[in-house]
Amino acid sequence: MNTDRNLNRMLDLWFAEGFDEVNDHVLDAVEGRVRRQRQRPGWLLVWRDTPMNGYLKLAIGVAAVLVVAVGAWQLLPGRDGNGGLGTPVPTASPPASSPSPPEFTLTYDPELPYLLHLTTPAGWFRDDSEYVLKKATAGSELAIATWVVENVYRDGCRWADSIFDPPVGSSIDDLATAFASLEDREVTTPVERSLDGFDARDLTMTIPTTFDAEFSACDEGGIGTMFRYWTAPGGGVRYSQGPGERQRLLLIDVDGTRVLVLGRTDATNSAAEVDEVNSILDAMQVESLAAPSASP
Amino acid sequence: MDRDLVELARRGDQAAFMALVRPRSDRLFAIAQRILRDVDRAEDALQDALVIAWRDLRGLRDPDRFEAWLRRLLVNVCIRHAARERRRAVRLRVLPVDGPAAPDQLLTVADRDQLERGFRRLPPEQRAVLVMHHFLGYSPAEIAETLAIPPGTARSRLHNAHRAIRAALDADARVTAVGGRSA
Repeated sequence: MNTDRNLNRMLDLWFAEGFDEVNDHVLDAVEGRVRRQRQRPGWLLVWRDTPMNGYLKLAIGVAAVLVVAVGAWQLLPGRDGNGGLGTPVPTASPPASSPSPPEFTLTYDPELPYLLHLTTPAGWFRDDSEYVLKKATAGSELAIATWVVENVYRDGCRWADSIFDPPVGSSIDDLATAFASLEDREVTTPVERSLDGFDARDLTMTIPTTFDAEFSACDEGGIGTMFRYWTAPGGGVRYSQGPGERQRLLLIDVDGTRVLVLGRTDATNSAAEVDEVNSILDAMQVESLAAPSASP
Repeated sequence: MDRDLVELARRGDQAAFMALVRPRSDRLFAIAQRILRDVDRAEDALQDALVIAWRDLRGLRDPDRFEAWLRRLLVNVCIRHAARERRRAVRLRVLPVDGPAAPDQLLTVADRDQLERGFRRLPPEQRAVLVMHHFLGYSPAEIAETLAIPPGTARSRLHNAHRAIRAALDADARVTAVGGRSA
């Protein structure tokens, strides 16, 4: 029964069966959600469509509650050692406190055992995406995000036949070496670093400004011509938003998980804006969620 | 016409967006239902994919690729839903007897039962390539482009999926022969 031909025939027939009409309530629900959902700015979008996972939403929610709770605690009267809840000190005004700086928690996939904690100056925000953003003075946006890289395109413009084969190895050095070998863009020499005790490599990758804005001479993918950087497990692809795009890349080995963190700026950003992104990345905290290994 | 609607939707016109997706929704739902093998989950996946499409539409540089882009979004959402389903070992709703169309009677009830159980054992990525190949008629190259994976990966996923489902069917046949399980 299960020769190749029979199997193909069976699968063709079997998939031809099934439900072919969607219930109206689904589109009604979509319409309602679309009314509430803001569109992302076009330049920012990468070809990655992960909706924010419930765990991530929960983590962000918890973080927000903690920020509010800590702020409220700071404002409680008598918090300087003599009291607390239920110990009002009517004559003392609560100390003036500046708003807490924005804090963000990032992960590429909540199933992966790591979290990144960012503290930013005022003005940074997060929409319903994996990116932490700030409006830049020239109109673009500064961005920070995390990825997990599966493989790399050797030629970002002629990417269709240029994926590394064999694929890039699994270590941060394998990835750093692959990036450093790319000849179609400017890549700094990877620098060894330690981030919160985790081994890391630090480099910057810049797309030449010689391309036209639409990369119109490049290979065409599912959404038009594009310059591609890398692929991620599950089919995600990171592609360039335009010539002159600059990415500070931190490749971190978090207890065996190879994590990439990018700080995105472009040629229109000022030196101060680039410094701001770099400062946030330098102060980033890396947390491993991997279970500790059993004692011998 | 669609190109105009895409341009309008990219500028925030919600009615244009709904006009774009309504005529495509049955086909998209059919794809989701075949990957996920469950009507409720397929509806959820379709909802998520369409909302993501609205949210990210400004990233679509070539309006003529809207259809392919939308399918890719949907397939990836389905893969994630299927992965969650596998992790949580949720019991899926069995399709009602009178629900789906049955255009060909060459498949027996036992065939369908074996295919259903074999298919559900596959990793989500392999389920997706089988549906794209056998339901949408995509070649490995088209699968690769749609999923943004190397062509070799698409070919190997398809090959492995065929091998896995064949193994599942053969194993089922052996059990049936030995244990006399009724279909």
